Amino acid sequence: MNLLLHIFSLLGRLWLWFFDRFIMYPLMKIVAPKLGVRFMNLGYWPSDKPEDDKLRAFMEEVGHLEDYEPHKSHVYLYEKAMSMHPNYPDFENLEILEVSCGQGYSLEWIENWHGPTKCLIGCDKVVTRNVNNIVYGDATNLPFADDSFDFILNVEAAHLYSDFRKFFKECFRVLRSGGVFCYVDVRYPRDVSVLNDTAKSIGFNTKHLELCTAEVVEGLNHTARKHDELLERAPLFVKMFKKSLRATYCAPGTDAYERLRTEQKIYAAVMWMKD
Amino acid sequence: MKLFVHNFMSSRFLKNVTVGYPLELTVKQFVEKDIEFDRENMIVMLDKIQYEALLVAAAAVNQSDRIPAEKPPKWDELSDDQLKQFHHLLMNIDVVDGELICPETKTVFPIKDGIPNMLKVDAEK
Repeated sequence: MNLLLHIFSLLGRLWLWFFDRFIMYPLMKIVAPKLGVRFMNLGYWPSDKPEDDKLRAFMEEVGHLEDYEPHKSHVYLYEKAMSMHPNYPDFENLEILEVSCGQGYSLEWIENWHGPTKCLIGCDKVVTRNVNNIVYGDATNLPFADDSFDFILNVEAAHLYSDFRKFFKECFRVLRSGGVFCYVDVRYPRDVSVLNDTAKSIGFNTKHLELCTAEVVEGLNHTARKHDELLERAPLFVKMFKKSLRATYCAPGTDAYERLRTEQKIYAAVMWMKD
Repeated sequence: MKLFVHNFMSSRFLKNVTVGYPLELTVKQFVEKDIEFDRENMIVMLDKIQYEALLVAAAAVNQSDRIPAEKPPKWDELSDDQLKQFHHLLMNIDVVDGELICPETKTVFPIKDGIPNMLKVDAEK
């Protein structure tokens, strides 16, 4: 009986792996604009720990934004990633690349609240809308020249890449000397030191490494509520995947949520520099 | 795709490509917008521009005459009018339909609806 449960659990995980990579993004390309989904990260809710001081102060300065209120938790995750940059919150005159920029709302947010940047380019394998400066491109084959950017941002996407070592090598290649690479992602605990060692073996210098699983769990309590509401309004062909979608956004009650809550999976925020 | 994006792009990720820069550019359709000019921002942007690639981009939209054939020695010595020519090329021109081409392998990357497709899997089909 135990063996049977184990097999079902493995099959369930295999299905989610497949769903995340091959079904969810094409599906979201069709329905995200209709449902008003702008971001697909798990979200973040700052705590009172000192590492969040800068981002809390900045968001207080930004104040209440009606348009972004439903997306606040997702924006916080971006702010968390960017707050590791030494220039935060001022990215004026930096040349910035976001790898896996999704629909590009993050680019608009960064330009409006942290710019004017010198240049801001987004790159993604799936482009869902035509906004300025988005390029179809693969994170492991970045279509940019060597030493092009001052800052690379990567938010909750690298766990889906086929080869994270190749991704890091590409980031190292397109970053200028002195450039900053801010990365946040969900990982198994054993993976974090492997990731960091890989980045260091390529030449990156680790300037900040923080685990922020509790803040992400708090964030996804906010995002999941909103996504659940959207799912209720979604077309039937989306509702068909309700269970898998809820697992993808780690809604409370799912195994994926429990894995995060109990830290079987953890969330890491890392800032590397190319010296 | 604004023309300044071309300045960053490379096909170095393709097999047997050593530099892949600058990409050749053919433009079938572009639109001209009116983005606000800011002298200081333009000088900062031009400071790291790869001039060789900018000349390729200017030629692709038949507007080479807007800028000198040689890179100006000091950007801050240019007049506003001269800088506005660079601003026009880099910021106002949006390529809607065209192709980026690897200078070494001649692999074609289409630009459709303003978005360049630089996916290796698509290029190698």
